[in-house]
Amino acid sequence: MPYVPHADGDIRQMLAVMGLDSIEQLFSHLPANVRLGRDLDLPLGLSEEEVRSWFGCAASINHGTTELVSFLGGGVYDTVIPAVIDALVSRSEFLTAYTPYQPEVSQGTLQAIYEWQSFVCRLTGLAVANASMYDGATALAEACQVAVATRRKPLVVLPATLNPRWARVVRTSMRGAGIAVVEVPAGSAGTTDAAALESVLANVQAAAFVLPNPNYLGLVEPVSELSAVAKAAGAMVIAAVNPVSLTLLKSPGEYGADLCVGEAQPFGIPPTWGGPLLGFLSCTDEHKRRIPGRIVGRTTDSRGQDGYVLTLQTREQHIRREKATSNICSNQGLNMMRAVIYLAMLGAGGLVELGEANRARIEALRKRAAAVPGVTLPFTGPVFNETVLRLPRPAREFRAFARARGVLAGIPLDGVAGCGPNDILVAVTEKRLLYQVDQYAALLAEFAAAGGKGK
Amino acid sequence: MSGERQVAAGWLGELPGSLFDKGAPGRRGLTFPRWEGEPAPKLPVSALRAAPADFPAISEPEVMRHFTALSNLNHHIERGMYPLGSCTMKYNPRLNEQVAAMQGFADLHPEQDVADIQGLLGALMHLEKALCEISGFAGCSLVPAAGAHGEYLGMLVIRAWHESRGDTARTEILIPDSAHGTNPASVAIMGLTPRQIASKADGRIDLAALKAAVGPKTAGIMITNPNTLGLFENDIVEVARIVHEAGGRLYMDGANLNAILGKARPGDMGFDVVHMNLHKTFSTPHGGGGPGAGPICVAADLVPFLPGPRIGQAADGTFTLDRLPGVDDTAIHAYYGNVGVCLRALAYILRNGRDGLKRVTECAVLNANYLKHQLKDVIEVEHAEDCLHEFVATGAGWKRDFGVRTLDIAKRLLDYGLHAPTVYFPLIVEEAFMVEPTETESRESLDHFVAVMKRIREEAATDPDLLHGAPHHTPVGRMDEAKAARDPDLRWMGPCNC
Amino acid sequence: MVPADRKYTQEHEWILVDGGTGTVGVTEFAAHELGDIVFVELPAVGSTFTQGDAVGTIESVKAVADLYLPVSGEIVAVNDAVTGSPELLNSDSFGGGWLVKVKLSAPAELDALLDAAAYNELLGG
Repeated sequence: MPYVPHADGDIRQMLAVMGLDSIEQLFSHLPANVRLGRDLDLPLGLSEEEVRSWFGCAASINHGTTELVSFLGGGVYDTVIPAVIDALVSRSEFLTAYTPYQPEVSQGTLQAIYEWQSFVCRLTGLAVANASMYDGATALAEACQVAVATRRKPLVVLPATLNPRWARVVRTSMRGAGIAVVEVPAGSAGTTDAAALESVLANVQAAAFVLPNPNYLGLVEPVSELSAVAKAAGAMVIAAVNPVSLTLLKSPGEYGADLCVGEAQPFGIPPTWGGPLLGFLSCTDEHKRRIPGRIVGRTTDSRGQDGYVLTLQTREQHIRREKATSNICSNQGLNMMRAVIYLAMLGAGGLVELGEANRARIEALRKRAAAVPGVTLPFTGPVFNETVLRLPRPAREFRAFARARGVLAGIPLDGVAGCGPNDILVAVTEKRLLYQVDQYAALLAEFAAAGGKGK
Repeated sequence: MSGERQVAAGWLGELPGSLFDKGAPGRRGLTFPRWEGEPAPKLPVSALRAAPADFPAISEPEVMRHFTALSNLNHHIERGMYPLGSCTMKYNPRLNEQVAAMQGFADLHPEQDVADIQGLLGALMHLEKALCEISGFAGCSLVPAAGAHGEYLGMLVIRAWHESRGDTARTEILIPDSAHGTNPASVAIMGLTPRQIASKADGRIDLAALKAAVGPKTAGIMITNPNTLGLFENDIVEVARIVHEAGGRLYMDGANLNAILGKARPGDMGFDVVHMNLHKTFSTPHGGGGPGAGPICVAADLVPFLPGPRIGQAADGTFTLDRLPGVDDTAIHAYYGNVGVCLRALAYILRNGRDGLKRVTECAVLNANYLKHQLKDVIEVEHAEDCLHEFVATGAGWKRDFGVRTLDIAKRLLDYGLHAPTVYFPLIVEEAFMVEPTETESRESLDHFVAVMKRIREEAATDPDLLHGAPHHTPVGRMDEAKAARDPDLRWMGPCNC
Repeated sequence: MVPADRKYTQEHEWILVDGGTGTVGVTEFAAHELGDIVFVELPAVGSTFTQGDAVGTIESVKAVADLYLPVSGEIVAVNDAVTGSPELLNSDSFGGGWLVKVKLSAPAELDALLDAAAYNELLGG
């Protein structure tokens, strides 16, 4: 058997010590009416090589973003992943360790979490961050729960410009807990109008307003105005960000957000069809005893050395049980490790450069796309690394057209925040090269010129 | 003592210092592909932050050194035994890691067309079917990203089923007092009310207490089987009958599934939903706290309540992603959960096969019983009969006789290069000391654990302060946790050297 | 022994009444059972509660206890010293570690509380 050390002789010896003849005796107390009484209907075990080739075969009929040129985003991005990340996280010390409940033999994990918290706080401009959440969507749902518990008002306000996948997760969570959700429609610029938000908030008692930035359409929201309107109405502000954009964009702390969540997959985590990802959650100091998830603090040990430990644990389910702020236990530890290594590698020198690299590429694509006859930019406000293009024909057709030419063209937006069937969401990260952006524009031109005859 | 190891030698290096204190202005790690195009126009000032975040400037070799130094401070599976009860810290095969990292899996974007991910969907459907066979159920959702997330989905499904029948008065979920903390928390975040039922002294369900508790408000019951004392619920069929007759559904916390693979199946016991911790039973790495995965399997009549999209297969063999009416607006994750973890678990299942999985369970149970037997004169074991994959000892006797607590024993074990067992859980056992060796440990390794425990018992008798002050040979000593919580220091405040 | 000048609850709170106002805290036994107390959350001054309401929480590193108000009334003061230095609850739970002062709205409720002797008995003598 592949991973069990015992030979039959070992088993006999161990049984003999206990005065038993067979392992089956250890199961003899299981009631007969629940015993399986047959073998599981699964194949016999395979050799390592057979398993490897089985998966190699399955993987080889997929077509991923290594083979294709990806302009897909919407929360998960094709980004540069330095080799040191795989080298470090494949160390048994990180890979196979348990949650650091015994701090004396877990300082590596604990200090890395503390350093992750420090990076997140520096990016978001907030005082506190937790170790991780499953993904950005669940982090947002949890943040809404924190706001409702804090303000004791069972209602949250979401803008139509929020990632629809995240909105679905939030709505599911709110429905379960009996919390109402109200939506603010998108304005004509593709962002949320402060006046529209004000009028929605005037009619409800909202615990929180969710402020995505950039929003799902890639656009930078008028964050300071929206935040001020929400706060004036007594609602907490929950920023939902692409953390890469915080290399350049105003930090949630600067516009008065109470909580900030996001999806940190672009920080060194492969997309793997959407999981495992890395949600993060940060907040101002006043909410630190209400947020979910593990938190590491720095303290001193019995020998007078600095060290790290899980802290504020009374928030968590293993202590507070049904009164816990959340049920989260296992989170995304190793992906957090990937992200903290990524941010260390990014460093002060790479930070602004990363932001500017995204900006240069998206603006180049916007300019080239807008020059294609029949293609327009429905929203012209500032963007970070994603944009909406309005095509002369359905976005789904262009997606198929581009895919046939080795390009993943984007996400059709029909029905999202006032977008129509011809609108497509395109992401351009630091990984794309000029010739790929030019190729995208050429595909647009070919598609537009084909007038429905292209395939 | 077997072997010469008295204390854990082998902790390397010194405490590495903060990352934020390292580097120097101008140093670079990551660089990006050159951009040959024009620069972007400036964003409006109102969109920009006042100053870049204060990050350290560090070179690649320094990053490698820093994190390698951190790694040297961790205990891990390859270093020594990790007998955490309820956590199933088994060996994590490297084959699993190779599989999940393959091009064609790791580089798939979640918004790609179904035609581009046929191999992935096929593998995931294979896993769904294997988990259904292992658990005895009809349908599976791989989406939950952790066990607690599976509990949450399970509660959603059970509630949706009740609602579909217009039965909205059922708001209570019964939970034995020996349960994991996630159980009552998962119920509460769903807006349901956890109702605790007292278990018998061995943590098994008290049928009289159960009968008294069920009624028209009962939405269901959450049971861990084997329970948190490592004991099988012998009355489970009767429990299921009582709950079903009262109109409720049965949820099984599958945290302890490693004890019954190929021996008994939740679906055959009368359960309606189970979650399985892939990072426990199916060997995916804990990673210092995740990512795990907690798929749920459900009985046939609950399948329509699993959230979409569900993986299907057309007549021509093509795999599909189907959104079903009714549950289309339900989602618990942005995409399809921790897919990479699911692939690892499938690799483990294929590698073991039906014969290997049964052997896993048999050896896990053998190891726990052997260890319990060999420790019988060292530490008192609660409910010594019938334990499966783990057992709960109590340090109450040591506290009485030597004035040392379970925590002290746990900390002293660290000095010998072993990880501590789970302590102070389950809550119903005083000074609980919960040991789950898993099938990973060899006979010699188990004997070593016994020898160390005997030695620690001698130390407790002759020099209890040695235990009170333990650990002595770890990179750091006991942490001032009160200070950490009273005056939380949760982020590095100092400026960087850049 | 516990101070004889005050009344106690089954949940290990004490109340010392002076005129129409009672000073409320938790007993030394409760503080000891919780261990090192690290955080205390108290209600807002001016809020009113009925007897038995959970009005605050007391947290140690690995446990949480609710503070139940032994009598009905309005909170007229909270002990900022103890929220700033929760360890006061461990070192001086019957004195400087008091938690809230409450203006009694139903003084007759006091009659049903335990006296020192009965509370000692509760602790097992």
